[in-house]
Amino acid sequence: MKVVLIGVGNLHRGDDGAGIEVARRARKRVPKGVTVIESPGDAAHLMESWDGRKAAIVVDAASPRGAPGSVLRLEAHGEPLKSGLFAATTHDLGVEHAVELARALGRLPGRVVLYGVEGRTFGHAQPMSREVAEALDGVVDAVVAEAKALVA
Amino acid sequence: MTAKTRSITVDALARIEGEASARLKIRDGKVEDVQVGVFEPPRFFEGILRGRSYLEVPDIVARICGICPAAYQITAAQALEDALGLSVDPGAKALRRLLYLGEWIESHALHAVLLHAPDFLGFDDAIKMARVRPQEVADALELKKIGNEVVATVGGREIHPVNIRVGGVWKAPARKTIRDLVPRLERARELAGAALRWIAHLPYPELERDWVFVTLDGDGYPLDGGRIVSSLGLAAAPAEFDAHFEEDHVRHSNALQVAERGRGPYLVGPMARWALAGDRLPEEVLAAAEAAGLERPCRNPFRSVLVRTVETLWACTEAERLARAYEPPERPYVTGGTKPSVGHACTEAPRGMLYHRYRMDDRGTILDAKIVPPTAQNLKTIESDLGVWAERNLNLGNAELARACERAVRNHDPCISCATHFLRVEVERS
Repeated sequence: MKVVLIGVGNLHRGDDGAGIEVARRARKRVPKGVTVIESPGDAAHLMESWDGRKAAIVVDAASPRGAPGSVLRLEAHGEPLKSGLFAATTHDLGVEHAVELARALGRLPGRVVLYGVEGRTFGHAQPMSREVAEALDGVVDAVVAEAKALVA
Repeated sequence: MTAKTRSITVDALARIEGEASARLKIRDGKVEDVQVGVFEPPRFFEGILRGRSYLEVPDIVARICGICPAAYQITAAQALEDALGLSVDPGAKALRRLLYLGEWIESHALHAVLLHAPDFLGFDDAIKMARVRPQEVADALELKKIGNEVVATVGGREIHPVNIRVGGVWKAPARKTIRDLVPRLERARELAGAALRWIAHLPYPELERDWVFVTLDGDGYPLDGGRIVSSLGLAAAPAEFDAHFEEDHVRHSNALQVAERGRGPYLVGPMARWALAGDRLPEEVLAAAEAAGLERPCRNPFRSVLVRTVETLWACTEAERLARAYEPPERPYVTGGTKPSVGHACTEAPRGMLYHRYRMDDRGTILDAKIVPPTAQNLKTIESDLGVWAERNLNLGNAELARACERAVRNHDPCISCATHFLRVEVERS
């Protein structure tokens, strides 16, 4: 499959489930040629998920900055990333680190686009915040459109 | 990757920055106080488990740790089997061991090369190291990937992400499925051996610590059972955990810190296993450890990365042995009636000894649970190591001292700090 859509996150930690939810909803709508994967976000898993693909779209929660539910789109295949917006785990490097590690090893797909949904609450067993829940359909529309353009 | 669309759901752990902190108080050129604070998921889980059916426990506790779900599942299953007097078929037991070893390989490869080794080479992180040492980093990622494959294969991809249930496994893979892992594990052994050869030559700071080691003494190298033993002669059944170890709710830390009753801090994990059971490793692994110059016991916390790499080699070797010898069990799992009971189990997670206890009623509903992870047991030791290392580095400016402190914490691969920006170190000097 040329294109992979990767939803990153943890459904048990509030807004951290955003990426996973987007992947699940997008799965029913992406065209042929697009694989949808749910990932905990560790660098190795991300790299395995996009290895050999022409393009990757990655969706994840982004760190709180006062505007929960807002959506950020970053093209990662060009310049090194420095946004610091994609929160990492206590065990592993986050999405941006995975991208930079892949770049250093020559294992970054030709096209990588990151979508970040700014979160508000990330506590254990907490529900998603209203702002993030309301933003998800818009993100799904955007990534599906992006995926369609990439397989075309 | 296969051609079919694949959905992989793995419950990860915390994804928040700053979940760990360290505070150092320095007065008159001496470290007066060290506090390491953490946020600890297991305590939430003990509460969530109450009122659930015992059959649900392994799946719930798998969510405690995103990098070692199998450790929690296996220990939980064993504790519940202990309560109910269930005896798992040898084939199912072998599958669980294989799963556990896959997890060890993943976890150790990640920590040793991607999180710890950069410290020794002056790199802030694995990315900077990858630009200069791409082969070593690529090898570690491949090793981690093989560990993942073992976990995914035994875990029953199609049916359930992690295949453990009380009484055994949900589904036993076919003989061929497991035998097909053998060439992958041979490759993993090569990679682990290659890693050992360069990790042996990292520049190790000199430091000698007088730890009390605690591990399990089952069959062979510690992994999935045995009595609790210590370097001071303790030998106790897992059921006696509370009699020997106590949890202390320390104000500055959200975690419970554990100590040996009447004695104090201790250390679990690779250093403890190597010290107390290293002689049970297979010949070829011991030879590789010797060639790498690893002393036994090893009391230098910085050299934990070397011990971890030797353990990775063992995990690959043992996993290959199990995969070659695998025969599907007659009964993937056994069942039995429920009764009011208490069950205990200890196993060795990658980071060290893990203890679970469950009490259930006549219908198998969980009444209470106790889960003691390795990091909680190591916290007092981590604090004390941090204090000692900080004191040797007080001449450094605050920023560099903070980095030195992070290194001291990372030596123990705790579930609290892995990248430099997670550990907030506050230094108070007077």
